[in-house]
Amino acid sequence: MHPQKNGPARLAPDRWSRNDNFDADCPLAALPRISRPHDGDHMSLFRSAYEEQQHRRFMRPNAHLFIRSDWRRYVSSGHEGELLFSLYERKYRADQPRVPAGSADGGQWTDGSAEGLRSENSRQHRAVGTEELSAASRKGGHGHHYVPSAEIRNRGVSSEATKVFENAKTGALYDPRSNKWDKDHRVYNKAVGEALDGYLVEMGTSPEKMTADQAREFLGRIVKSRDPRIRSYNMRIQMREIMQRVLRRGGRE
Amino acid sequence: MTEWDAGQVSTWHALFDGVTRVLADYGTEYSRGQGDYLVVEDNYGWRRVTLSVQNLKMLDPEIVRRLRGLLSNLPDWEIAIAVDIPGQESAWPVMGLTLRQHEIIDGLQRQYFPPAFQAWAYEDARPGTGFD
Repeated sequence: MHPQKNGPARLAPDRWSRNDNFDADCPLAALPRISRPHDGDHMSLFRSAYEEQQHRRFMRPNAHLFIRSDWRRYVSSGHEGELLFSLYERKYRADQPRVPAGSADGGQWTDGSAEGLRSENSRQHRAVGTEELSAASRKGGHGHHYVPSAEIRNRGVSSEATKVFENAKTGALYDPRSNKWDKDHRVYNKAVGEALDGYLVEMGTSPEKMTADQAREFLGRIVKSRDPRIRSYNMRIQMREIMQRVLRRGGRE
Repeated sequence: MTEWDAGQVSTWHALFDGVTRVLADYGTEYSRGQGDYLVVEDNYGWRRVTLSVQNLKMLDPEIVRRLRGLLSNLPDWEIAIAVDIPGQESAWPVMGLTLRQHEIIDGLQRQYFPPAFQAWAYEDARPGTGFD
């Protein structure tokens, strides 16, 4: 398949929403499919591995090659698909400017706006790796808490750290089609709780004395965690959301 | 925040609080590796509050009836109850209940339950899956 060969206009949006197989030459055929309702549990391991592989693929520096360069012909201005495609285009543009060394954000990607980089919200979104979902968060939903409230509440974490954790969310999610009886949330909570206990021991501090900076550092660890209980859950949410934007709306609603 | 979003958020919080209050009468919140139930505090923007039970006693028909009562004025909303018993994560399939004002989707696979819990039935229930 050549990524530049065909455009999103070849596939009707309603077909995408039915989770049918994509045309082999569709530029988005390489993207993961949304989970199918009747897949058995035996498929979950396969799907996780597949999604992880696709996630890595679209985090590659040349990931933008999988999106055709004239995607704007098919995506109306203001549509949420525009955000996704532009993020890919911007995120992996080789000549994208970086913040000069010597500042706190030195080396970070930037759109050239120093204001944006100084913004607390912008900083926090970068810290927790949710830039792609920030548009959703502006729609008013709260979304997935990276550090679950129950694990904070029952440890007596300081108010300043709690505030950081409370604000670290994905925002509303567009795709409600997961299994409502999914069991992974408790496992995620438990894993984050264990990680928090470990972090506090490592820092030689207690939950009551946890600072906002420590909370932000811990958040970063959660986002980058290699613990499969944490990583697979966060990755699944992000990948499902990205795919939902690309596939369900077809970029043309 | 749009008007719809604002309405969703306030209703979600009200329902979340109601669910939490009901469950607190019967068990303890899951935290630090133990407890009877976990109400998911993530509002994804959907008309749904989700919880999981770590103790089958939380599926008592009386508790389910009270939870469903919270939806009496919320015809478009639902409460999803996942069965997630520690130690059975891999052994038991995905199962649960979805409560709506007019029906209950019953996806419990009772053959996995101890005999004492196998006979529980729910009013207005029909078989279904977590995708219904």
